[in-house]
Formats: sequence, structure tokens, C-alpha cells
Amino acid sequence: MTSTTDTTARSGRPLPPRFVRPSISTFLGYLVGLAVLVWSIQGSGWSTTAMLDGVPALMDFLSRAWPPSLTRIETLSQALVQTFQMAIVGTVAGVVLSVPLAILAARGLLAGRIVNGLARAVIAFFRTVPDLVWALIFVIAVGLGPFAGTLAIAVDTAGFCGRFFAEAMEDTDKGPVESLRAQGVRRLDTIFCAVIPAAMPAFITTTLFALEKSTRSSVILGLVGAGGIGLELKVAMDMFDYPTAATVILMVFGLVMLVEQAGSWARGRIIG
Amino acid sequence: MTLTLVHGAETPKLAARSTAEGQISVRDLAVRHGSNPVVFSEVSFHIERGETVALIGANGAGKSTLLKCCLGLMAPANGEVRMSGQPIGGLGTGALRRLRGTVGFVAQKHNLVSRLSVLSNVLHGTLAANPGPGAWLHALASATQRERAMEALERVGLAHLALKRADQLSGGQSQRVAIARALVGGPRFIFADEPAASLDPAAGEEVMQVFVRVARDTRTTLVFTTHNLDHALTYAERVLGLCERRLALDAPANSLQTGGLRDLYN
Ligand SMILES: Nc1ncnc2c1ncn2[C@@H]1O[C@H](COP(=O)(O)OP(=O)(O)O)[C@@H](O)[C@H]1O
Ligand SMILES: [Mg+2]
Repeated sequence: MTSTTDTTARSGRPLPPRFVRPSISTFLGYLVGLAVLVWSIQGSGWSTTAMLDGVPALMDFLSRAWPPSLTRIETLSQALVQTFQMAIVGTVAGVVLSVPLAILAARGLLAGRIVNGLARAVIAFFRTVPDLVWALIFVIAVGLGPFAGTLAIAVDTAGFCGRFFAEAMEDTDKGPVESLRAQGVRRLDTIFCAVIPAAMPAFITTTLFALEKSTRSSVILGLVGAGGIGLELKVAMDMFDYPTAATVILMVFGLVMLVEQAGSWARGRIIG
Repeated sequence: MTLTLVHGAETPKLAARSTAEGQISVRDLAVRHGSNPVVFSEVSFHIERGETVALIGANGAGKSTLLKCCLGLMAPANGEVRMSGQPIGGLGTGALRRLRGTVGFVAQKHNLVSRLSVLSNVLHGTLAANPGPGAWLHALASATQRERAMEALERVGLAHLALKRADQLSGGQSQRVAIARALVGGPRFIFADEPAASLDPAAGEEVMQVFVRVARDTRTTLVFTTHNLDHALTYAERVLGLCERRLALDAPANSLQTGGLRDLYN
């Protein structure tokens, strides 16, 4: 049997089979996927009993964290504002850095194959090294504090935006560039007068996504001393001051939600 | 008339070579794309300054290819093209770009930057002579530049739409803006590759009329390709026809009739 066959009640005509027997290679693919999953479950220490045993401890944490403490609200608010400021400056710096990188990386725009490849490699490196690792590196370079975190966000944003900006520019209609080149306009001018304006909506939506991403990561960077509210969270947890930790978590939740809402509202305005 | 301002880009260097200015000389030209067979060969003609020439031929006959050769966008397999007396095969990148700066180019698609204003799009036509941010956007342009762009828009009758976004225009209006963009640099040549092909008949006639009037007013050499034989006979003084890999026709428009021209398409 290769398939199960249905017939419709009314016409008696056979319907297409629900399942088609997979080819040998597809079947082997499924098998390998399953094996990798089983193997990974072992390595990850996944344990349902540990999860169930953990519930009382979690409840204990929640009951001790409630109600959130407002005693340090002023310091925490300042730290939250700093977190957001880091996200904004880091995003803007990253976007500014990513535009020239993207121009060099976009195929058929300005540079040849070799430069395209190099710029792509730089962008990929910026993007694939996690932001927390960049923060550790910049703490060494410029010391503890928000500037290290801001630089980490900038590099991470350059990696994110560089890739999408380059793709957006590659996807623009080449007609205007060709018509202008035929009249003797230089490549660089065609990029600024024709390609970037055409890619601008994509640039703006990508930048808004980058800002949301930066806001989330700026919270974490404090854990390694790179400024922002993350440090407050770490200190509160280490000192078993769970009510303050709860406050920080709720504040972070509020900020990220706010930025995401504002971002999707702005995107809707721009695309619409 | 507004002739002086649109012609304002005239450079002293070009004026010095004024004898051959605006002429196109093609001698024994053959072209191939890559290793394909030649598109055409043994093509020779000479166009005087200010002449209006239609280039006709079936799809794939090589009309666009011939225009590209004249712009130095393709190297010929054989023969020579001279624009304003200069053999373009021997020009370096910079000189070739300066030569292209004396050409206004209009394609079948208007190729405007849709998100920018009409005025900004027209200003882009001055970038060959004045590179840099001053001609990227009309907001950044100098008063002289803006005035030149407005003059060019007036020539095509669209000055009142200067601040409209380019994607809000009709097909015919867009193509007229493309003509203004081709004119604003004060070109010696206008090349138009099937400029009316995607327009409805009325808009097509209007666009062709604008071309011919502007070319005559400014003594600009106009070469346009078309599949519309009426356009070729009505708007050109002379018709060139490509057929079976040769220049099969080179005759004054008033000596021709559409019926006879159809043979080129068999
Ligand atoms: N970039 C290209 N690569 C290879 N062949 C091409 C290219 N452009 C045009 N051709 C070929 O050259 C011939 C002439 O094309 P084209 O000049 O566009 O003709 P026309 O404009 O008269 O319709 C056609 O056979 C076409 O297939
Ligand atoms: Mg063509």
C-alpha cells in the first residue's frame, strides 16, 4: 500500500491520497533528525522530574518576590532610562556604520566581487559574534560602564542592518540607475540619488527592528558590567533581594513592550 | 525662449570642437554579445548635428544594442563610432563618462525614482556635470540648479507638478519628466529607446511631439527607436532600418511610406 484512499460520499470519485510514501532519502532524513533530537535531549539534561521538583522552589521565589519593592525605584528608573539611551545611541551608531558597509557588500552596486565578499565577511562577523561577547571585549577596551555596552550594541546593529540594507539595495529597480549611468552619472551619485531613496522604507523598518533588538540586548549587557539596568538585576538576585528583582523584570518588560508597540505603529505608518 | 538656460551647460572645451559637435559617425560597425553571432555588421551612417532620426527594425534586430554602442556601454566587435568627432573606442573611463554627459537618455520605462519629487528626478539629470549631494534632492540644490530644472520641466509642460511625487504621475507625464531629466544638462544628443512603446496612443503622440519640438529648439541631435512606423515617418527627418544583420534602410522620411517599411519586419 502506498497510500490510503478516500472516496467522496456523493460522487464515489476517489480523492487524492492523504499521504505519499516518502522516498528513501527523505525517510533517512527524518531518521537522522530524530536521532539528533534524542542525542541532544541527553546532552541538554532535559528532565521532567527536575522540572516538577523545581516548581516549589519557583513558587517560593515568586512568593518572596511579591510584592515588587519600590524602595529603590528612583535608582532603578535612572538605570532603565540609561538602558534606553544606550539602545538609541548604539542603534544610531550601528546604522551609520552599516550604510557604507552595506554599499560595499551589495552585489552589482559599487564594488567588485572581492570587496563584496570582504564587506560581507565583516558584516557576518559583527552579526554572528553575540552582543554579550562584544560587551566583554569593549569592557576591556573602554572600561566598565554604559559606553562599553553602547559600542557592543553598535557593532551588533551594524551586523544586523548591514545585511538587510545590502539586500534591500540589491532588490531595488535597476532602471533609474541604468538611465542615469547612460547619461554619464557616476555610480556613487546613482547610489545616493536613486538606490537609497528606493530602499528607504526597508531601511527605516529595519532600523526600527534594530532598535527593538537593541533595547532587549541593552538589558542583558549590564550583567557583564556594560551599563544599564542589567547590573541592578544581577545585584538584586545575588543578594536574594527578590522584590527588587521583580521590579526590574517588570520595568524591563514595560520598556521592551513600549518600544515594540511604538515600532510596529511607526512601521505601519511608513509602509501604509 | 528659455533656450539659453537649458543650454547653459555648454562647456568651453566642447565649443572649441564645434565643427563635429553633435555629430554621430558610425563606420563599418559590427557587434556581438559575448560569443553569440554578430547582432549586425557593416553598419555605417553619419548623422549631422540637429538631425532627427528614427531607428526601426524587428524585435532583436539590434536597435538598443546600436544605441549602447554609441554610448560606449558596449565595445564593438569591429568598426568605429565617433560622437562629436571623438572615437569612443579610444576614450578612458573619465572621458567616456564626460561624453555620456553630453547625452540625454530616455528608455521605454521612464525609470524615475518613484519616491522622490518630480523636481528631484529632473535634477538628477545634472549629476554628470555637477556630482554630489547638491543634485541628489531638490531640497539640497542651489537656486541656479533648481531654476534650470524648472526650465526643463516647463519645456515638457509639467512645471506645475514639480513637487508631486514621481509615482503619482500618469505614464505620459512620467515619460515627459524623463525627457526633462534628459534635457536639463543641455545635451548635444538625445537617445530615446522606444520612448512611446508603453504609452497609450494619445500620450505617445504627445511625448513624440515634445521630443521633436525640444530637439529642434535646442538644435539637439535626436535618435529614437520605435515600432510605430507612423511615429518614424511623422517625427523623424530620416529613417534608419536594421534588417537581417545589416543596415537595410537609410532614407529621408518624406521619401518613405509605412507600407514599404513593413518589409523590414519579414
Ligand atoms: N545582454 C545581452 N546578452 C546577450 N545577448 C543580448 C543581450 N542584449 C541583447 N542581446 C541580443 O542581441 C540582439 C539585439 O538585441 P536588442 O539590441 O535589444 O534588439 P532590439 O532593441 O532591436 O529589440 C537580440 O538577439 C538579443 O537577444
Ligand atoms: Mg530594444
